[in-house]
Amino acid sequence: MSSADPEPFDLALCLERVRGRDQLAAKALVEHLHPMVIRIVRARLPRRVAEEDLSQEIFLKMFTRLDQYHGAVPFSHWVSRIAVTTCIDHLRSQQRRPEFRWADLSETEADVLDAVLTSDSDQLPGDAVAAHELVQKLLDQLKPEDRLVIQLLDLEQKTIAEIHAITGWNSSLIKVRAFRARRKLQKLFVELERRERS
Amino acid sequence: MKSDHTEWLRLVAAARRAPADSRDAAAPHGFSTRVAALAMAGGAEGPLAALLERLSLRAVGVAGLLAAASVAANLSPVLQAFEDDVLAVQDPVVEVLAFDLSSSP
Repeated sequence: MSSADPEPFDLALCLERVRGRDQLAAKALVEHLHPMVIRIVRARLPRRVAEEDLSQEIFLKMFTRLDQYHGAVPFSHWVSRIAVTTCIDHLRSQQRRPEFRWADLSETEADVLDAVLTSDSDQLPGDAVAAHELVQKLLDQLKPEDRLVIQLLDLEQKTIAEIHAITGWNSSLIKVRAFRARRKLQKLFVELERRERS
Repeated sequence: MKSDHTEWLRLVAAARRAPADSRDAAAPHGFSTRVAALAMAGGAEGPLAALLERLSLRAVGVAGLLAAASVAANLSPVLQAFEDDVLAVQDPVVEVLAFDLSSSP
């Protein structure tokens, strides 16, 4: 192994030092976990909340609850559950979800939606980024928990076991939430199709 | 099996082709230092606050149980006293009869 290789991160030792009030170890732990936490935050960022504020809140919760971590699950899973729950709490506190309206869509998003509603082809014309934006707007119509499940399942193509690891929810609950979310989205598509025809 | 969610599945398949988020995932400059300092500064009262929170919740639970037990234990005497008061004070017939009985020879 060359001397340029980065030293592997010793999580167990770092956690022990953090429990001993070592600020440098706490800093190292934040830097080690930040990429994972920020990915969760960016994928589920509530409106009007800065990603840095939210990730700081998640890390502070992690440090406050560190005594409750006994190693039953991998540490990254434990932290990801804190991150997911914090994001859901923020989404829930917003209460009102924005209404989905054609008028609010960009031209490319409207084209993608029109193609989804009128064509049976698997290959949709248009911009994948616009499709992604449209998906996010549709997901905004769901309850935060349902949104998270359908996002992980359909968009990020995670398995039920992986979603269980991230959220801590059991497989039945995940399936129920996915079913509820898809039914709501289907209703939304039917309504949009009706409006499009009229 | 024909899916009932074809519109959604086709849309989400198109969305998956969008380029992955290329933003830097590393902590911004000073972020980890600030968070670590905040965590260590607040940590001194953290366990104490957590302990107080746990004890407070238990105290609320015990107080609730005691309140329910005291209500259950004293319910029948209270109801009895209330009924006696109502009969004695609010029923004019009782008042009149009691007066007549006491005034008759």
